[in-house]
Amino acid sequence: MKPSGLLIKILFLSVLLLLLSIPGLAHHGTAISYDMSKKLTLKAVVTEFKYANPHPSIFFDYTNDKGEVEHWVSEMLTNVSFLMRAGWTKKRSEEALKPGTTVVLTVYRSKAGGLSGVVTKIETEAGEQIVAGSPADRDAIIDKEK
Amino acid sequence: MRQCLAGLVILGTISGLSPAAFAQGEVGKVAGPPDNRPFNPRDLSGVWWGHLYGYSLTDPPMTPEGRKIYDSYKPAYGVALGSPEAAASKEPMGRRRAIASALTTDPTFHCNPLGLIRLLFYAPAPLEIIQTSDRMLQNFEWTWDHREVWMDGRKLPDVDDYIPRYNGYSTGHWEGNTLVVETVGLDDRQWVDHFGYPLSSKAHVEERYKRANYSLLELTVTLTDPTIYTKPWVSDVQTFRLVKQQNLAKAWPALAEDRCVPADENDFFRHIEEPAGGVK
Repeated sequence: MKPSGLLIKILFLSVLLLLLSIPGLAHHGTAISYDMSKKLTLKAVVTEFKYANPHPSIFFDYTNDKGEVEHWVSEMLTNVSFLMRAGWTKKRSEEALKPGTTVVLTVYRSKAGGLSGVVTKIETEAGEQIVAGSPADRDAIIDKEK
Repeated sequence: MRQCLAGLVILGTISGLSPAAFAQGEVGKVAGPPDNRPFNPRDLSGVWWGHLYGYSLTDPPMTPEGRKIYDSYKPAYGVALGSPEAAASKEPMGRRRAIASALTTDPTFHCNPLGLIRLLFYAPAPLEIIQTSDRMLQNFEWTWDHREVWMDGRKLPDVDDYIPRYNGYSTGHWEGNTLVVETVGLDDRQWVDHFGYPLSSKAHVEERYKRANYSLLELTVTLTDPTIYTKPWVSDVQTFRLVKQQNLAKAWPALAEDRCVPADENDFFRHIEEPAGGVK
């Protein structure tokens, strides 16, 4: 049975959550350019998603409390090779985050201020709890003795 | 060009272990379970995924000239320069001075090559080893780079006859079941690792590879560079685990062609990194 579009989106976003929820070692743009002490949760509309190196990026519109539309730029804490290996090819990813899609993003703003941030979490519009689950590790692809 | 470590396939390895756990004494913990499958210790071929990100958790003593060059390098990796975390950190000094990527002097941020040692200590992506009758070849997924090690008994060349290269000139020989590789002729613009430790064109690099079991390859590197470091600097033990080729990707059962493409790099720099760094 072919998975439904919604299921695909949930699976994709679950994977993204897994990918983005691990602090790991310091990343070039994370703790340095962004204020990781102030978490923002923004319900936003995707305007552009780039499945590209060095990191995927999401451009989104967020309507603030004053009713003004803010045009944000952000990078995601993952790589296309990781997405691809998790089954999220360019086509599937672009479909799940196509322009006009509403998502709830966990964002950390750049220390320089402005509408620039790093996205560490993505949730569906329905507000579903996307369980991170246990992170897969390198063992998942290692050639192990049975 | 750079990758993030938050990859699905390495999440547990990185997230579950602090950098201290990667020190030499903890190798067993990251080496994985025992593997009793028979193997040929002189067969190093396959796709291997290393666990270390960075050369060493020990600070190398430097010459005055080395220190001057080190101070001029401004990495974008590590703990933020001048932060309380940097002050409290026990990490080596190179890992406590990161600045915004829009302001870094890291040459790889504009698609200059990583260089030999940096490629070998790069946890987010695998490498592939191919052995032919006269060479050992290594392909590196990140930046789609490669190098060759001559195994035909030739001596290291007189590098003054050539222009220096990012991956240098390498020859190798077996000492028992340890492959010993020597490299000279390294371009001095490369960094030893992401944290901005320098090396000079006079550097001599020795790699020692030992296949410890069917699915485990260990590497120790010694960098001898007297104009920069007052004594040879030995790396932490990099442990590579053998990757099942079919687990790499549905579409690409081998290394991904992750080149550094200046067009993509420049686009990202302009639209993402400059705003993030407050650079107009």
